Amino acid sequence: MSVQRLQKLQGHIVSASKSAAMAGPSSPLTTHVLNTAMGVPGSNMALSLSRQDPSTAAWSLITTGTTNADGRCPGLLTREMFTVGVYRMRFETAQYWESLGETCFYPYVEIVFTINDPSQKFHVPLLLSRFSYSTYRGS
Amino acid sequence: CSESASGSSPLTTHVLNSGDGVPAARLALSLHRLDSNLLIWNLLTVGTTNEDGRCPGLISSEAFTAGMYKLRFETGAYWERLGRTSFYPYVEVVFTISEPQQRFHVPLLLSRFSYSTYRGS
Repeated sequence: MSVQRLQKLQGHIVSASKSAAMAGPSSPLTTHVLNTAMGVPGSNMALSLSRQDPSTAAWSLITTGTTNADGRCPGLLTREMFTVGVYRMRFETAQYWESLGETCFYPYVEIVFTINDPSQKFHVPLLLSRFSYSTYRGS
Repeated sequence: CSESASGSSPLTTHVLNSGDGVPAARLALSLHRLDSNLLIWNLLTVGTTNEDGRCPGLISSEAFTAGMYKLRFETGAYWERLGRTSFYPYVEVVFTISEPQQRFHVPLLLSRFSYSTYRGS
């Protein structure tokens, strides 16, 4: 095996362990944005997570973020913050398509969901094109 | 929704219960338009889907101006009436109409744990 090949392999191993070290305990709530029109992850999309106050029905912002190159946004919240309640994930879809030079039928997408058992893991993905979207409860 | 709307609405919807493979009948919904100056939603229509999961007469051609609209579907109440829980208390689909002379179909394919929508005609 050539020296260059060995150095390349070493580079792969180092970067893999680096990203594992950076990820803390994983969020009980995850998302994944996929651009179904282009068959790629929806990367660099701004999103935010809010929780609804059960007595006032007002929404409080928990976290904002941007999807990474894989269309994911790790570290949305911690187990301690993940209480029973009604949550809202908002995705800035028109802004995303605009950055790709296209329009989008949906200025934003808000997915509102109820968490009754916060001990579980919940995956709330968004499969998106310019003129359609879908979501499902994953784990 | 009014069956007697003169001329069909330029905006239509269709709610399908993809979990059971049936139209979602008697699901309450409402149509809103965003007031772009005040940034508040104005309620335009309330209705309930018929046996076919449709709600004719959502809006007249005259009232259908360019702007941002929201269709809100009372999905939680729908599943509750069927004696089931669901992940989503309601579904709101917000969309932009730049060419109100076209026809727009904004359906909702719904199960207890998933939904999808698309722009049809």
